[in-house]
Amino acid sequence: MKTIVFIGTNKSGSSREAIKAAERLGFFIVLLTDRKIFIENRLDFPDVHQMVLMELTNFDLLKENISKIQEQGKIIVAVLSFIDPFVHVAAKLWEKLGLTIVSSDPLLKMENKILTRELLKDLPVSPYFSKFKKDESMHTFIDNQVGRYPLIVKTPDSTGSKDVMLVKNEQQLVRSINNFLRKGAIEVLIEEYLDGPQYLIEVCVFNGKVYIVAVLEQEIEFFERFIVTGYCLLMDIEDAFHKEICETVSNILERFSFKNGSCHLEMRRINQQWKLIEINPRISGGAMNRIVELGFGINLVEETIKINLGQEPNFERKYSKFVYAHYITIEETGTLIKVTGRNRCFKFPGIEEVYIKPKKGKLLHPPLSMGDRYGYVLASSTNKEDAIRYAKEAAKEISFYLEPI
Amino acid sequence: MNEEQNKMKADCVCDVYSILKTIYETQSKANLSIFKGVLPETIPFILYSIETMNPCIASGIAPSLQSSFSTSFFRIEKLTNSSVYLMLLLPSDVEGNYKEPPSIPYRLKKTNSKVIISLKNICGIQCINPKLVNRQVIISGKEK
Repeated sequence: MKTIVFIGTNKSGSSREAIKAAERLGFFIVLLTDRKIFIENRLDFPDVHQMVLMELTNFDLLKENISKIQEQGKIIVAVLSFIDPFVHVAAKLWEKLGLTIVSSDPLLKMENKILTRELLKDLPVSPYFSKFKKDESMHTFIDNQVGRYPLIVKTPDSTGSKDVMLVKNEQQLVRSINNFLRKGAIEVLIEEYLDGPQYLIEVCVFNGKVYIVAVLEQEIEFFERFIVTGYCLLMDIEDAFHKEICETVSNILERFSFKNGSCHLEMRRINQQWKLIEINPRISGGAMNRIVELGFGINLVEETIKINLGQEPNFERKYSKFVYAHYITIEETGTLIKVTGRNRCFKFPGIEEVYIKPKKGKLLHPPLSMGDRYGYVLASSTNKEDAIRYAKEAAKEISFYLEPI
Repeated sequence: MNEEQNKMKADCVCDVYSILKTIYETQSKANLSIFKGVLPETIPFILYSIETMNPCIASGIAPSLQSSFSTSFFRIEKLTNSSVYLMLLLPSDVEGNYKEPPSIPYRLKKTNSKVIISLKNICGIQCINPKLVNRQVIISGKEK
């Protein structure tokens, strides 16, 4: 029985769609998860054939469970993960089985923001950065940042804006660093704040060939953190622009010796120069797989699975449309009573999908990370402005009823 | 009615009376500065009719509705040995629309409508979470 083992998943979004795609491809699916609620709601996962509840941060335990699965007679053809921080762990496990064409080393470097910065430090895409170590003199470190504000402060393993802070002066910098150290960080990364249009680039690499699968413009709002509230899939981009992106991405991936797999890069264009915000060794989470599928007819997670199995991916577009994903956040805090307006959204033209994440009884609050976006509206059109307008107008129909706490 | 039924009826009335008395005293204490914000000023409840064994329903007029309404939710105003004076609480849904019994309301609102019920007609009482009284809602989105 050809089996794919997945390490961790979210209830919905790209990681879950990867499981569905693997099941469609005819594999036996084993999910190793540390979320008890998934086992409790086992019927929500009909695409998972075997679910194992375990501690995912224990590598030896993971190895042990993989061996048990093999002893059951299952032939493991891949160990995959589409969520942080298990992408490189999955590749490492797979390496132990001696099967993979994906190397875990580049993935580890991509997952760690400091390792990424150090690897790319002499490339033009690299902004100013500095790392603060726990036992270092704070005074000297702060002195070295004079004249460089505003700065971004983050932990090496930050994801989804969770541990990313904007600081405008010395006091805020000290406070942020201390805050991260208190939470257990050993190293803190300080980066130049880059202001300019931000793009997200979905990339796949097969046998060293780089495929720029999708380029999206990001709309970012600053609440207490930077939150991406809109993604616009670009239907077509100018040749020169595409060439620039391709060259920049290829140079970066060459440094990582990234030969097979998928990743996404967030980059800003400042004075005709591309600057890397961050790179992650997987497709973006949330609605990304749906966005690319609606816009180009490409199931990115399915093609990623094929790459991992050593099969040639197919990135030929079946059609081309602009797709805009408008994410919903709220400004108030309270317990969710009900959500209205979902059906009304479909009265607008071009609406493809409306997704509301939280269930009744969940405590909702203004966003502190990307995980605090409570739904999205996807709209498509052959006109960029129309796609954006449809999604934003439709999203206004959604109302969250909250009981104050 | 035989002797056993009469005894049961007397027991019911006795129980209901003692619960109503506790509610009334708690509500009264809630107005003392020492208990402000600690004890609920209104403890809503449902009373059960001895005739039908179903909740007692009373009708009143709510100025906010500009029409009559029915409710099975009450607030105690006064208690005597034989009867209870009740305020009718207006049940509504999360959007503030009147919810007719037996629907479960999101919110209960005090009104000026009052009724007097003889304790002999009551066989049971069910207290309701005081948080339902004037329960607030935040609407995040277009319909704000």
